[in-house]
Order: sequence, then C-alpha cells, then structure tokens
Amino acid sequence: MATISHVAELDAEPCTGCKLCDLVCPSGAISMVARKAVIAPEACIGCGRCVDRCPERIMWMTRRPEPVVKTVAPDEVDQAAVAQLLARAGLEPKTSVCVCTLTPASEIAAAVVKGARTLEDVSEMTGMRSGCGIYCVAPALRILHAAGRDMTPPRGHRWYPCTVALWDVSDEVAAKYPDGFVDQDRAAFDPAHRYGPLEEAAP
Amino acid sequence: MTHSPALMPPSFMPSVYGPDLRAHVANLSGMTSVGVDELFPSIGPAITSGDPNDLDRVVEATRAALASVDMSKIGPDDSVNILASEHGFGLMGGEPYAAMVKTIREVVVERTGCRDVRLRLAIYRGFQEADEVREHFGFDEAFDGKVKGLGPFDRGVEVETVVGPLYLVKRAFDAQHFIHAYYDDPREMYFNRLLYKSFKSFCMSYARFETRSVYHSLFGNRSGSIIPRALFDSSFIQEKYVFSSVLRTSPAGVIGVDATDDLYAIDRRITASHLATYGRMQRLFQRIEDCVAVWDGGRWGYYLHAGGVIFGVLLTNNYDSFDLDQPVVAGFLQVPDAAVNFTRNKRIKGIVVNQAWVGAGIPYITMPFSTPMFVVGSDQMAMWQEDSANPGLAGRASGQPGDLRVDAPWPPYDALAPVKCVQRGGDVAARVSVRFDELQVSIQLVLRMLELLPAGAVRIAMPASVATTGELAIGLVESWRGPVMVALEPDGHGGIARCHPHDPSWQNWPVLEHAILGNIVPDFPLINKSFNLSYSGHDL
Repeated sequence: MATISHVAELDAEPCTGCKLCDLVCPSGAISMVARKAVIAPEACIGCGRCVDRCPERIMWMTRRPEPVVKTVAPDEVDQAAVAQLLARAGLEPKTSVCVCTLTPASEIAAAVVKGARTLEDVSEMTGMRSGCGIYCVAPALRILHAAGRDMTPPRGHRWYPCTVALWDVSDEVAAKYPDGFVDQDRAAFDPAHRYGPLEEAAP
Repeated sequence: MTHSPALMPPSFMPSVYGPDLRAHVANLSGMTSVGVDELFPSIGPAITSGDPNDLDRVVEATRAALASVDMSKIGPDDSVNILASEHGFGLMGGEPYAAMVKTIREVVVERTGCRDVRLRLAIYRGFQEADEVREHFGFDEAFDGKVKGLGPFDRGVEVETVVGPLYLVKRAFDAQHFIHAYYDDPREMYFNRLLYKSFKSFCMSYARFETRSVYHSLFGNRSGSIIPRALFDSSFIQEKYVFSSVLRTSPAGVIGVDATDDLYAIDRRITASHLATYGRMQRLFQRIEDCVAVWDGGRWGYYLHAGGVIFGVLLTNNYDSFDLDQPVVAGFLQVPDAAVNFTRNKRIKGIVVNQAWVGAGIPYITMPFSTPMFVVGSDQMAMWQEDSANPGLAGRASGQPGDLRVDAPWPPYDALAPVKCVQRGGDVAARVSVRFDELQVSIQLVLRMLELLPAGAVRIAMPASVATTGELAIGLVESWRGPVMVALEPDGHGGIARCHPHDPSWQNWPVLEHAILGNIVPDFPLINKSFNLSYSGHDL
C-alpha cells in the first residue's frame, strides 16, 4: 500500500517529445500524443522521476488535493492463488518487496492474481516503485514471470526481463564460486527447501 | 586523550538535491574531535586531508601504483572509458578520488598515446548529479569535454553470465576498453560483508536497476557476491577490461592507491586491510552508548562518513557485519516469519539533519521509525516535505497523520513535534514494538518538556466558565490507544449538562475479532491484551 500525495504536471507547450520522462515512468502514466507528453494523473504514483529526468525542465510535482491510496487488499483476491504464486516465485509473503513503500510480496502477488499483466500495472495498482524505483523490480518481475505473464520487454528501456534468484543457481555455478554461500543462504532463507528454479516451476 | 578542535566537514559540492550551504555543526562552541590515530595508533596516518592543497600525494600514489600496470591492450587509436562511481565523491569531499581519476587519464595518455580517453560518471538516482560532479571537480577540462553521466535508468545492454542474462548500463561500456576506477571504503558492510567488495560496481554503479535489484533483493547478502563476480568474469566485461585502480582508505582517511589488472588480488589486499582497520572501528561503534548523530555534509545523509564508516553502519550496527556465520545482517531477502531485516541501533537517540540531500528513496526508508529526527531550517524541511521519493520520512520527522498531537497540536506538543511510532507487521509483536517505541519517544518528550518548563506559579485558579446552555464543545486528545473524544454541553451555571466520552476501543473491538481468527485458544489472552482495549470506555 502506498499513499500517493503528489502528482506530476507539465507545461506541454515547450515539450520536445523526447520521451525520456515516459521511459522512466514506473506506472505507465505518461504517453506521447502528437509528440507531447501527456500525464494520466490517476495512474501517476508520484515518484518524481520524470521531473528530474526532463531535460527541458518543464515538469514539476504538485500536491494532490487529496492523497490517493494505491493498494490491493487481501480480500480482493483468492489467497490460495497468492500463496501458490509466491511459492513458485520463491518469495516469503511478508517480504517487503518494495522497501520504500513497504509493499509486501503478498500484495504484489495479489495484484498479479487480480489481473496485473505488466510491471507498470503492478506499480499502478500498489504504488510500488514510487520511491527509489530500483530494488523492488526483480522480485516483482519474478512474480509476473512465475504467473506466466509475457516477459517480452517493452520498447525502449523501460525494463528488462531479469529475474534470477538464489533458487536458480545451478550446482555448476555454486561449484565455480565455492565461497558464494549458496547452500548456506538457501538453508537460511528457505529452511523447508520449498523453493526451486523458476523455469521448472512456471506454468 | 586530547581534545582537538572540531574538524570541519570536507569541501562542499552545491546540488539541487540539497539545501544551500549552511553553518556547520562543527562551528558550534565546545565541539571537539577525536583523531582516529589517537584511538588506534596502529592505524597509520592518511596521505591527504582532502584539502585541494595536498592532493599531490594522491597524484604521486596513483602514478606509483600505475607504473607497474600493463596497459598494452590500449592502442593510440582505441577508445577507453574510465568508470567512476558516485560514492568516491563523498570520500573526504571527493577531491582525492577526483585527483586519482584525472591522474589515471594522464598516465594512460602518456603511456599509450591514446587520444580517446573518456570519463563515465556512474551516479545513483538523481539525473542531474553527474552534471554537478563534472562541473564541481573540473572534469570537462581534464577530459576535453569527453564526460558523460550514467545511472540505473539509462539504456541497458544484455550481458550473458553464468547465472543467466544480466543488464549493465550501455553507456558505461561504449568504448573498446574500460578502466575500473574505484575506492574501497567499506560503506555498506552490512550488505556486502566485505565479500568481493571491489567487484560491487559491476552489479551496482555500472548496472541497470534490474541487476541491482537481483543482487540486493533475490540473493542474501553473502550469496549476492556471486552476481558482481559473474558479471566481471563474463566475456563481455573481460574483452573490454584493462585494469583497476582503487583509492585505498582506512578509518583515518585516504591511505594510498592500488592498481593492477588482477582485481581479485586487489580485493584480497583490501579485505585484509579492512579487517585490521575497519574491524576495530566497527567494534568501537558497537560500544558507543547513547548518542546523537548529525548529518552535516553535501551528499546523502545516510552515506556521510565518520571514522571512515558511513552513518548507515552506525544505524545497523546491531550485529558484527564481519561474522559470516550470521546469515542476515541487513537485507531485502527475508527469512520466513521475519518481517523486517533492517535492524536499527536503538542507542541513537536522535538524528540532527543539519545538511544533507533529499530524494534518495532507499536508503532513507530504512531509517528508524521512532528515532526523533530534527531537520534544521525551514528551507531544508520544505525540501523533505516535498520529497516524493521519501513520502514517510518528513512525516516521521514531524509526525504523521493519525497523531492528534501533531495534526491538531496543543501546547506543549505544538513546539515539540512528537514522532509517530509505526510498525507494519500487524501482529502481537508489532503492537508490543509500537508500545516500546512510544515509550522511548515519550521519555524523550518528557525530558524535553522538563527542560522547557516555564517559570511561574505552579498552580493557578481556572477562569470562571462563560459557556452558556446550548453550546457544544468537542475536545480531541491523543491517548495511548489513539484519539479520545470528549463532547461537553454546559448547563450555563459552570456545570455540565451532557457529556459523551469516546475512546478508540469502540472502533478496535471488531479488529480483535479478526485478529484472533485461526489462532489457538491459549493465544487468545495474549492477542487480546496486545490490543488492551477498554471494556467500559471509562478507564481512559
């Protein structure tokens, strides 16, 4: 859950249509219409990255009249499906996938069960990525991957399909890096040996 | 031990990410500094104070280290990127690191005749930081304008590694060769545990955000060391890699430069040196009892140095980072049933933000929820309040919605800005933690109130009531359970006609009904008492 108190705005007149803001937007809130950026305020999660990115300095953040709460509540989706998806992805439900908003893995999975098809959908539904925009991405992509979503990256460099986890490391790689603590970390983070490589488990 | 005059923070790089330069805390009367050499005589002296006037020793050390490095891969018509990373510019004001980077270029040009040596500045998440760095440190002049910034959101390049495809930032490697220009301060030693620390840039500074996320979020902080090594060992990197030059540090400061093409060898030397020097400093930090931390520098507060280690080390210093038998010191990947892996040093009684950048997102999010933060200056506070990347932090510094002492303050809270204590676990442990955190904050509030106690009579008579019949007064007070409302209707004779008190138990009893579902009967009393709701509404 994230409480979004800001929204991005811009002065479209001098916009050159460079798309840099669009490419760094985590929630797909920016589109290009007639070579000008257009912001969908309802989809903006207030991270401010577009404002910092804009080379023309024609964007700014403004406070919303009322904060918007982005969340997918547990009772909105089938909790058994959420648990199954997280087991496939190898993530503990309580893990704060987005450490900036403290959005747990269970909520990301709930968003996917509810119908999120892309990383942008997940961010728009949960407010994930409204902080640093960095460290939550791989676990969220991994949950989407585990749900069998299309992992073809969008055009540009919005995100790349990168989901390798501790559970995917092969015996050969573990042997190549014998001081890589692969077995020890697996024992610490998955004492019940419930998790395995994603490819084998994906539906 | 002698008390030296307070050392001034290092030189300051103006930035859009922080407030203008203000008076340093070290300028306050009575401030003093303790030298690392006095604490640990075995830790040798630094070669530079960071002052631009004694950087020639860094230049000499760089030249001496590079003398034996093989640069034969680089031809005069080739292109070479020198890769520099952002935290180097936070070490002693950044001048020593900048001097090493510039000297690397000079030596490469002298030795190889190469005419196309570029600088690539890897920064964190501020898109304007690279331009600020290039201007402040004069890199445009030193590199004939061949300087570009890069960050985690820039276009990527797929790199095949033994753990599968990972993504680096394309611009970092847009030359035939590259030189890894690094620094060795242990910084986030609770994450990297000094395991192949010299390789970390390959999965962080030079990497796309997906790769950074894999390293931090899908591996433990011991097994994570595979990721930077897999990248460094990839054919993509090895075909372009020429050598590494590392600014060496100890808690005393910059102690030299190490350069070779064998990064594994540098890493072993660094680890040995760090265990001998920073290990002592970590122990010392663990022994510090009650303390107040002051952020007073030109960069992210979390990464500001004291005694060679960053504030983040003091903050997470509950465990021995160097004890590799301990699987988790701090980390994003979590063990079952452990909701939070960011521990905090409860002996930090307060954080004074005199000067620091905003907008970091993480790591500021790992800041303690219940440690009072004091932001100096309304201009700086405004930056924190408008910082959309850290929506909660200003809240934690000045109270969050849900605490009447902040939302609708009455004396003395209007002048004290109490800190809201928050846990997100939602279980018994979380509620108990909130109580303990609130106790801490309350004790601090009480002590502060005692200091602020005004002079005057201890007791005065209440003024006679002027309220008349038909008026209604509603008072809201923050109690330990939450807001208590009292509605009063006066009778016009100084008495009360009607009264309605209401405490939050009313709203919370149904919550208890949900909280116990699925639990065993013997746990009911524990769960019930963790709410500790009022039965009658009269024991408020």
